[in-house]
Amino acid sequence: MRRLSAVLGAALLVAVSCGQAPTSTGTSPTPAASASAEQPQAGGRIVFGATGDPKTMQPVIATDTQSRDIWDKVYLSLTRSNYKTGETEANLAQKFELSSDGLTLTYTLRDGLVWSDGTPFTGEDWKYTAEAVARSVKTVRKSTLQDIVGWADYRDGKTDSLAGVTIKDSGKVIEIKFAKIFCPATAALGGAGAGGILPSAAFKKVWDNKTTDTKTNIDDNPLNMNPPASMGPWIFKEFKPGVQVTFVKNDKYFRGAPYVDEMVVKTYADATAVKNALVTGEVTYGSVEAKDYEEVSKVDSLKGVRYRSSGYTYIGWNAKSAKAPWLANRDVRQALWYGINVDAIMKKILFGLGSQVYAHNPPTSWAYDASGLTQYNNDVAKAKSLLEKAGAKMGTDGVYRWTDGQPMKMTIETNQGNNARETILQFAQEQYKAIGVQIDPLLESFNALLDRTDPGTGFDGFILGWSLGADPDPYSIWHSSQQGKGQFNNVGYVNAAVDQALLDNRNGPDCSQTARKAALKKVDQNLNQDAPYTFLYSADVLFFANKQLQGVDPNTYGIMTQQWNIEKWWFKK
Amino acid sequence: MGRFIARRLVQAIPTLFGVLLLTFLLSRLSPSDPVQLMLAGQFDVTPEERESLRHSLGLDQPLPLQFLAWLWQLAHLNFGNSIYYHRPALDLILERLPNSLQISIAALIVTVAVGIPLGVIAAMRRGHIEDHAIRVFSVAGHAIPQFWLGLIFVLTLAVQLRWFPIGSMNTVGVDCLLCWDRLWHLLGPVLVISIAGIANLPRILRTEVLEVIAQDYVRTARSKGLKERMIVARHILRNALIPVVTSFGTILLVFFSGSLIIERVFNWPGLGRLTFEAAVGKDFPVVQAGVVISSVLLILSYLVRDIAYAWVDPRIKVR
Repeated sequence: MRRLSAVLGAALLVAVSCGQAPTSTGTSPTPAASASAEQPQAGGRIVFGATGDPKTMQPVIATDTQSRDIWDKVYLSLTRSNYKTGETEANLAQKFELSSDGLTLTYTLRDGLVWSDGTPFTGEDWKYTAEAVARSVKTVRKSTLQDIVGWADYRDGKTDSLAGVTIKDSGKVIEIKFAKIFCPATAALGGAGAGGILPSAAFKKVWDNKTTDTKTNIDDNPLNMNPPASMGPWIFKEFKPGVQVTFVKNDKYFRGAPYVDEMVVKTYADATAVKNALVTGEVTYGSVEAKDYEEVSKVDSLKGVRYRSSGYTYIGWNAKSAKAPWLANRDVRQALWYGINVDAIMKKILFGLGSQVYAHNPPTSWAYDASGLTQYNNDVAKAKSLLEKAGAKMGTDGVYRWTDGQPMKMTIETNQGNNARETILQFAQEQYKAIGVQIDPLLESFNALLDRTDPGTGFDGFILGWSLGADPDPYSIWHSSQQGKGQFNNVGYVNAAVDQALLDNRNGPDCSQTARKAALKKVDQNLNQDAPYTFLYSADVLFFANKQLQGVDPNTYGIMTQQWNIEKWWFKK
Repeated sequence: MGRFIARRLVQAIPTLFGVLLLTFLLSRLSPSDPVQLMLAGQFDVTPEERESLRHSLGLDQPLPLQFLAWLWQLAHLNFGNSIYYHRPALDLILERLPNSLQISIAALIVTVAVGIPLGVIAAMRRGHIEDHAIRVFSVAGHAIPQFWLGLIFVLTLAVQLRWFPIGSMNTVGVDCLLCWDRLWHLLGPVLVISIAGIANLPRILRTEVLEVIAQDYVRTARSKGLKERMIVARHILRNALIPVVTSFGTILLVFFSGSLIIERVFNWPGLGRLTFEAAVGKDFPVVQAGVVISSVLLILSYLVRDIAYAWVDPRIKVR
């Protein structure tokens, strides 16, 4: 498996965010976080609404948003993305430096870092986490670390230590040697591949990293549901299944203890229940769906901020589908793009609170450049002519016949419970009928959908979304090598020019932003013409917080729980 | 009475067997492959390892053998591990079961406490406005779907008027079982689940009471100058209640099936919500455990109903 870029499906989360250049994207009409001249008051409880329980509280094996919203309270990364610009900035590391040849990365930790249980935080914690990723069988994070010298040897149990990582200066300096240049290295490796760094002293009791026995790993142990120590603003207190996860403030947090005493992540059945909880004041802050935006905006006790998200929603077309062989044809995929009215979908689902996208890099990214991209405005006649150009012939029943004579009938599937995607599916079914293509809609659970849309021949079309990190590295989504089990190029996309541009973007040798932007532009142009996805839209995030809560300042890269400055939040009484 | 209970217990076995068979078949007929689901997200697994896991789970065996193996597991209270939570399904169920029982028991108390007086009032005030009002309520209570009532309750009384919480078992930060906060949170789901039962009871009870009122012994009691309240409690109600006990079967069924949706509407962390979410997420071990345990509880509650029936009407035992 090759390296993952920053990808976060609606619930599938593989965050390796990193940024290199400022691109302010916030569009906040009412800045929520006006700096208050008043003296912050201590005390109170912050409640965040989640839609479901966490599967795990340990980042190496976590793949879902609910789990991330828990582990990111206690396990931090050496660097983080600036909440507004996406630039990589210091977190646990005070300094990070990539050598001029691009082959050595050095992180220098802040002074006096300690875990909540009093144990010092050292580079050994980082190394332990990276080694845990190497030996885990449940993780989806391995490719982030695979260019480190000695990676394969440690992963396969030939060594008992990751040779390319040296911890110096009593644990304060982490030196990582790469076998080849990796442009997004600085930010991508801050979280040791997992995203958050584990307390090695406590975890060594359940999995010893100094071993060559590859049968043991960190995947199943009681600490995965019971974080033993915290480097974050909060300390895990208790988990009540179906009810909530409770945290208390960490007095040893390196940015200072939070003003607020307690943080609760409360479990709700769905997004509507979270919205209701926000309106009634049960939940202190959170985001709502576009359909609820107007209603929630009228609630006096809440203040709202609208900002762009770093992702998009799409319909993917499986070029390898056995049942719908026409999806391998570029004209057909373009016809499917012309055949759907994205503008109408956006009006119906987003109420205009978002922007249409025409290729992979979303408007929030520094790599975004929509110039010269075809916009595929809804055009039934053009769609039909493209289908006929591809060799399809209209049948007497109003459905096109493919070159082998079979009717152009296929399935589009999406995850049940996601209102927006279910609506897109209805639109697709209706509108594709008008261009002579028959759609069978299929709703599945999210897990089952991910499972079914694994690279292969067994599915046709599907509606999903990506949420992307600040540093653009779409290698894992579009490179032709990424079509193995569990990999993300599940539409079977192959284009040699795109393959090369993806490699240029990540392995340089020129890692300057100008060079990478040019490479990514090539990727976008090709995707726009090849249409492996019908790219739909990038929705805005509609964030609301209780007016009494001061200091909240959400933005694109503040991630879901917007806790980048949570220690400074306080309640005005 | 002992022999009666023993006989009823034996009779419950075929019912239980039927439930188990149906649960097993439904989960096996589903198009999703349990091995695929268990290995979702694990990318280093070879096809051989996949097959070996399938073999170790017994999924390569013929269905009857799989069923027997499953029964054997159940006999050892082993429902397998949740695919989603990676924990024993039984543990998850047992964590949630007490929460569901709170709603069911409270709903039963409310149903009896409100339904029986309404039935007596309807009969004693036959043809008057009270009787008509109760009849309208009965029809409406039957006709309105619980999930709709629950949603309307949440939207109006909780979200708009803020008289009640929108759901959950306690206010965040409060953790108690027997306290006002819990009662306040229980009120919504209990009222909604009880409505169908409350609507059902007066209908049955009214007919029975009217029949009993016409009996000679009631006339005799009246002629002896007994107080009306005494006549209703001692002579009318005790005899009129016999068919009502039978109707508890239906009421219990409503509680169990209703909790699937109502717990979700009221965000109540009970067995119903867990089973619902497991079904949507195709977490088969949890669905199977949830269905089996709910069914066993239902069968047991039917047994209690039969015993209660035999107690209020000794003729049943003879039959």
